[in-house]
Amino acid sequence: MAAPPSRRNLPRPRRTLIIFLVGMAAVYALLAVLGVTGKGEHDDGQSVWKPRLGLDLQGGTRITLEAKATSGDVTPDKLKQARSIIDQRVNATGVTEAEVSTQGGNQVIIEIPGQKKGNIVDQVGRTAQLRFRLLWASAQSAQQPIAAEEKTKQEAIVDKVDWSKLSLDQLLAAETQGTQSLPKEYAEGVAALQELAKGFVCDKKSLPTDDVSKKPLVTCDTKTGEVFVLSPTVIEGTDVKSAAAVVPQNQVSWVVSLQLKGEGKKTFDKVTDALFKQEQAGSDQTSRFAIVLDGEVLSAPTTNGHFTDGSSQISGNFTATTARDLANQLKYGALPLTFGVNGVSVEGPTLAGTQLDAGLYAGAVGLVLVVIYLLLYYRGLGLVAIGSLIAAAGLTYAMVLLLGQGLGFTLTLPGIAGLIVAIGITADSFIVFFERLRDEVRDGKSLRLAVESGWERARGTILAADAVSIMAALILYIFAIGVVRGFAFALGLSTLIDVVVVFLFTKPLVSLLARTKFFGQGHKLSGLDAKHLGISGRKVDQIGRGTAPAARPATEGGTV
Amino acid sequence: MGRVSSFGQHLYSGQVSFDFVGRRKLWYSISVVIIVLCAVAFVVRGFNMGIEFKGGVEFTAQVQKASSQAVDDMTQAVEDAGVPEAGDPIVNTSGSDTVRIQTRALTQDQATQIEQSLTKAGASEVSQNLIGPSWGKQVATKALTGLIVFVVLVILFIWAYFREWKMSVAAVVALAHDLLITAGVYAWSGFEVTPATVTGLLTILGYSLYDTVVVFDKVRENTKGIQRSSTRTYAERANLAVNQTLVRSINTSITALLPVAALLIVGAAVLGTGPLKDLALALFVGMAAGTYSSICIATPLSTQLVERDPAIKAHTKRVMKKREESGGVVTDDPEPLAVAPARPVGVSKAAKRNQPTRTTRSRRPKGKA
Repeated sequence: MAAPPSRRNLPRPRRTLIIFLVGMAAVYALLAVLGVTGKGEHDDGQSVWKPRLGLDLQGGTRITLEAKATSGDVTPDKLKQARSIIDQRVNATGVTEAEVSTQGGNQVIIEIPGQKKGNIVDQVGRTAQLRFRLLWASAQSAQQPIAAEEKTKQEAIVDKVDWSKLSLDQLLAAETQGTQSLPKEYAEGVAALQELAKGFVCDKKSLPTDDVSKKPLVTCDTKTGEVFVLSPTVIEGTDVKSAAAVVPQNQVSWVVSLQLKGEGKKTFDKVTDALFKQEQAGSDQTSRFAIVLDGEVLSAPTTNGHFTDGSSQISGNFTATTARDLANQLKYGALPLTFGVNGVSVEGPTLAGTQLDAGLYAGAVGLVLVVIYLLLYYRGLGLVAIGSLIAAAGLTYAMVLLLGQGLGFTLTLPGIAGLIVAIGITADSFIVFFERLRDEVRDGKSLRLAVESGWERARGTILAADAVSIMAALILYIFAIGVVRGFAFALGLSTLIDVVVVFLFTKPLVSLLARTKFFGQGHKLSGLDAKHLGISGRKVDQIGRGTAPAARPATEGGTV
Repeated sequence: MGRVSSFGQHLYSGQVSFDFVGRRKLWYSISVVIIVLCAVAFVVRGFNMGIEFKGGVEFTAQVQKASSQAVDDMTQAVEDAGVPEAGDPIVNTSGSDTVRIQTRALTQDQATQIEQSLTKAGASEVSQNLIGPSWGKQVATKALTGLIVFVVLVILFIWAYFREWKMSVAAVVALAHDLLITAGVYAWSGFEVTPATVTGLLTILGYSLYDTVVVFDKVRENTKGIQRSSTRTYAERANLAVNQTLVRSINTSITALLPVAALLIVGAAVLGTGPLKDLALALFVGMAAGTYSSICIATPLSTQLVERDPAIKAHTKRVMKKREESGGVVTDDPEPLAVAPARPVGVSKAAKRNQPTRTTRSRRPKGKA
């Protein structure tokens, strides 16, 4: 264990040190390459040398939606599905560069850097409505959108009419016999609907956001570009009992089987009865109905059967995926889970800037204080510690940049706090090592031997202590919520870097320096002179003979 | 600093020794008193829960100068916004140019209304933070789960690393000690308890343990093969370990506390309120308590537990008897190590190991090394 470094071992510290420096250079080179080629996975046009900042440091909106426990089991699959739907909705509101992610097993986080968009929360978070409507008319997507003024005017006319008075029979008749079969007072409303349909450009942006159950709806199927005038709702999505993607026996293509319950079952019986007659009469167009989700037509199938028991199949050009998607949407509405707003934070750029400055300022002050203390106490060795801190800082900075590019890691205020707290933990590794080293010298070893045997002992302590620290960071990361995770991540990252730096930088550096005259013979300023260590009667490059009474009790009892 | 260093040397050799292990009753009493004070604080003062635990909306308005005039303006602006739910807002200054306004739970539309009103009243920029009522509860629940998992892992880790469950127990008691004291300081000071505070508390877990592990490592080293020694008891060796790591403990505490202090001061002075300050205060108190507990609680307690082991008990008796026979040292000598005979009795492995090296090296001509 404490064997004197043999000749074979001599070149090792230098080699380790070179490996470390080459490794560090490689990391920076990789960053430079990423910067030139812009191939980072999370490349957003920002300089590769600047860490990606969290919303609290650059300003922006952060919305936290949480799945309500009442909406059934929150499974990772459902959450993932909800995430992608919410992502689509956020994009549909015209917000660019939003990042939507899941967190903590039951949350969806929407982050919009640089913009104040707290008001989109109601739009994106609600569980959308699934509705079955009759198809009164259809047209192709318009080339020119209707003028905004005209649109408002026509909408007002539609709103004026009380559609809720219509019976199911009347609604059906409007489809099978044409809208002119409706009572006269509805004529104006129907005309307005047709005007709206004429000027409807079918894309995601123009989909209606006010899908009201008891009113007709002008919307379209973005997959086909078909624009529809739809009746008030005949069956609510809550009447869907189940839906599944299946390949029926003796068939090859996918269909979506649908099972209704309650009122919806009876209505469906009546609706399919009427519509199937149209189909048999050869009019496909007037046998269709529409399944509308969140204002968008999911599917507008023709009716080719009279379904009395509420179960039916929707066929079409489905693939396994599209069939499953439709089945899921039928089952869950748009979102598989009901979400409540957990928090909305909108951070202005000034406040964010102040926080960034404060974090950096605190870090600088903390670092300088630690440096001064280490220099005062350890003198020459303090320089080694400072060098190690700089190496750790360099490596941490590179890792923050690299993780930002690779994993989208963003630096938040708690993250900066974590890095600052880690200064202490990193410095502690050096302190443990240096104190052990000095103890070994006090025990009567020469400095060069003390470095090796002191390291042997310090190593175990450093590893055990860092293991605890990493364990704490991991647990914090797993159980923390929100931005607090940034803190845990930073803490864990710097602890790992600490281990790397101590093993590959500090230790070999001290080994090398112990061979120099300045340190090896215990110069007054090296922090290793005999007086500084409190030993007398010998120099640190000599082996003690146990003449110092102090050296004795410590070796007794067997230290291994 | 030279004197400090030779102080370290004296601590190391045992020439200067603080009787941490022997005077455990004193340290225990001090801690008990502090913890009782903390408990009183929990009951009498309770915690000042931040808005995150109550739910509501917090607005941060940037103003020219955070004066009482600005506070009045902002309060008026909230009332003028026409949102009755936002009545009686809590408004205070934070830092030199921000005003913080807290209201009860609002809808997003209402929050936007207030934001507009604040801007009209002269705020150059308004940040808002709308917090659902379940948020804080969730943070607390998760933190509690984390705490339990951590404690279980800690017990297993220490037991595996030191092969001594008694050390696990002592470490966990020290952890509880640090957490209670930190919580107590929060209760007494009336500082707001936010999720950042909870983070700080969880970080203390790691730090406090880190410190304890370092001290325990030395204890283990010093007490290895204690049964073969006839001059030192387990308690004495453990105490020596604490003394030997004392310089490290102090240095580590200072280097750890300095950056945290910087965070605390910058967080409080520049930002006024916010996660930096909450985190830093919890860390500062917890780290200080952690250093104290690893020295004065964890080691004495683990020693006390180990001493109940019959083998160790018998060994201690043997050592004491021998000491009495030799007519030298009495048992309650506070510094038995310093007066103890200088000559080692058994041949230690370390001595054996070093023997050949010493002979060879000392014969070498000077100046070659």
